[in-house]
Amino acid sequence: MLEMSRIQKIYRTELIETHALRDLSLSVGDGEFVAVTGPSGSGKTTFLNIAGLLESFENGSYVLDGRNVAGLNDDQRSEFRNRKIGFIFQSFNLIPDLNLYDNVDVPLRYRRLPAAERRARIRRALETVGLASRMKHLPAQLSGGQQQRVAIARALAGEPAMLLADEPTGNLDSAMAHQVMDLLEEIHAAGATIVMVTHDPDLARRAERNIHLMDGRVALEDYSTGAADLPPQPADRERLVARA
Amino acid sequence: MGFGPMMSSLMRNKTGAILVALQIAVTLAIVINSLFIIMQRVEKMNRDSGIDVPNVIITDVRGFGDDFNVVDSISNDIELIKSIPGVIAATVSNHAPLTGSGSGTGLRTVADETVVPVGTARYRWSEEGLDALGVELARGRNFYPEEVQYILPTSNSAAPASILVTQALADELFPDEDALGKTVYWGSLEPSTIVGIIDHMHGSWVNWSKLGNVVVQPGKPAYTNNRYIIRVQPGMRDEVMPLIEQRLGESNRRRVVKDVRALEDIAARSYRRDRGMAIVLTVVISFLIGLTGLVIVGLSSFHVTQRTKQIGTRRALGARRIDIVRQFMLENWLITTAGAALGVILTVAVAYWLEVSFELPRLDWRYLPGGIVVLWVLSSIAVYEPARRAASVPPAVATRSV
Ligand SMILES: Nc1ncnc2c1ncn2[C@@H]1O[C@H](COP(=O)(O)OP(=O)(O)OP(=O)(O)O)[C@@H](O)[C@H]1O
Ligand SMILES: [Mg+2]
Repeated sequence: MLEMSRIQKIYRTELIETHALRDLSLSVGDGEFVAVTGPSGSGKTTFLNIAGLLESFENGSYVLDGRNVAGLNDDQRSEFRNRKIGFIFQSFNLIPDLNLYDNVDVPLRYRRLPAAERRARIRRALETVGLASRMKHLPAQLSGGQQQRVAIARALAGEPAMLLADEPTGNLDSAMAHQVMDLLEEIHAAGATIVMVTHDPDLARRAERNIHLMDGRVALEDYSTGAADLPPQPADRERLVARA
Repeated sequence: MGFGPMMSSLMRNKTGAILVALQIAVTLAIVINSLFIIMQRVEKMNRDSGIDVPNVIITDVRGFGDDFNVVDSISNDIELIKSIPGVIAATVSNHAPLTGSGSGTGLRTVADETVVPVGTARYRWSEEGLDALGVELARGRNFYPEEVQYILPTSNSAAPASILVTQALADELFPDEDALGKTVYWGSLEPSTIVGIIDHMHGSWVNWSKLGNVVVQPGKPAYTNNRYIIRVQPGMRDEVMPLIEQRLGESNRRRVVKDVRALEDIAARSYRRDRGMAIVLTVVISFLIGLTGLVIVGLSSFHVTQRTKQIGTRRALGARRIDIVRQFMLENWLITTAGAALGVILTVAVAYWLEVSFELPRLDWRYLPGGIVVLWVLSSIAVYEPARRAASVPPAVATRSV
């Protein structure tokens, strides 16, 4: 599904270069449920953004669903995101002015699906997350956990090849976090490939595989039970580089 | 984003949209009505006066002293003026057209004081008068030289046998008949015969609705103050004007040259209120259009900033840059069109008010679609830059912003 090798990502500002990813290599197989952990600033979001074609990278190669994405232009990347990837964000990112139905509709409209098919997909996706009865409601009328379920419905409606989630439970209390996690497990059981970034070792343990990032590299992979208990890492993220 | 979701999204963020729509409505009403008034003023200023305005010079002279011989002075002056190269014709006259000052009278077709006379401007000039103004005689004849006498302040002003009238005056006097050869009666009920019809000529008062009514009597007014009408060959005016001033000044010390002016300048002065109104309204509508453009830029920039995260999310979900641009353009188009719809009502209301209170002509409805198209174009231009900025919001904003 996802095949990254020796990916580098450097953020440059006026004064500093930040090596967010250093020769990151990893792969995710079809139908896998992978949790990505690591200390703050270790490059988890950067990895996810590159995986989801939200950001570009400098060196290395990335093959997604059999396609080398390095050569895609901006429009092609948009289309690829639209068709292949379902995003789940930490702060849900629902559009506040739109009701649940229209929110789930957003990616489907960009795909220019016929109205009847969009309607069927939206209904099905909202049913999957148990919120079909509230589709005329606005996001603000829902709890955080419900909002995240709508966001998951939005990601599912496009029938993506892969779900990418950046701390999907980060803004939720533990009861709601577990609901969302249950839902993700259900979706995975139905065959979806999921890559989830999380800080929570308990949730990470529920994935099939844990990838621990540190300082922009894969520090540890654990296929058996989940995240290993690693000692906290010293802050070692940003290199001050005086530019000429 | 689709039409429906966009409408409901707009309805949930009414305030800004309503303000902009109102601004657009008011702009449409003011711009269209102002433009209509401007066009009327421009049309008025560009009316054909029938006179060769660019090539006519008006000269005012004044004699002084008890023994000033006005008749000699005028005949010498006219001779001298006509000897200047480039001069085509010259006459002394009581007044000059388009100046805002003149004399008027009333004519009747019957010798009956109870009949309401037809108002008209009245001139006196010599057989060269028509040529001195470049006015065309449509039918009949010009004055014979022997019909043209000096008219001294002391002479009794009996009605002349022959007069010229403009076609406009002729039509008003004799709506169903040919005026040529007909007799008309002055205020004193003295008769004169129409011997020639001037095709078209404006009289003295540009704001008078019967500006085209002119009657001409033969004569050379010979007073202390005299006015000469001089026509030159095309392009010679500015050369001839100083020569007139100089030669007349040198030729006779008993008579001063008060003023040598181009008829064009005099006419422009007569139309200065119209021009002023057109300029003020043009400034007002330019300002208003600029302001409306800025308001649209402001609101859409605000929307872009406010929705940065939403834009990033949309990009992450598969929107291309063009989709984002389109979203902002379409939303702006909806606001503009709603404003324009309201603006049409407002425009008609203002037009009706102007029509009733200021007796302006009825608004030409064709200005409305024109105005709406202008606003559409304006608002599309105004929203373009903010929309482009929206499209350049990076998709990573979706995960990076809180
Ligand atoms: N746009 C950017 N410009 C400059 N530096 C950036 C930018 N985005 C991220 N970084 C830096 O890149 C490094 C990796 O950031 P990243 O967001 O991937 O970390 P993370 O593992 O997701 O952290 P967290 O757990 O806090 O979300 C950090 O040092 C961060 O400061
Ligand atoms: Mg992060």
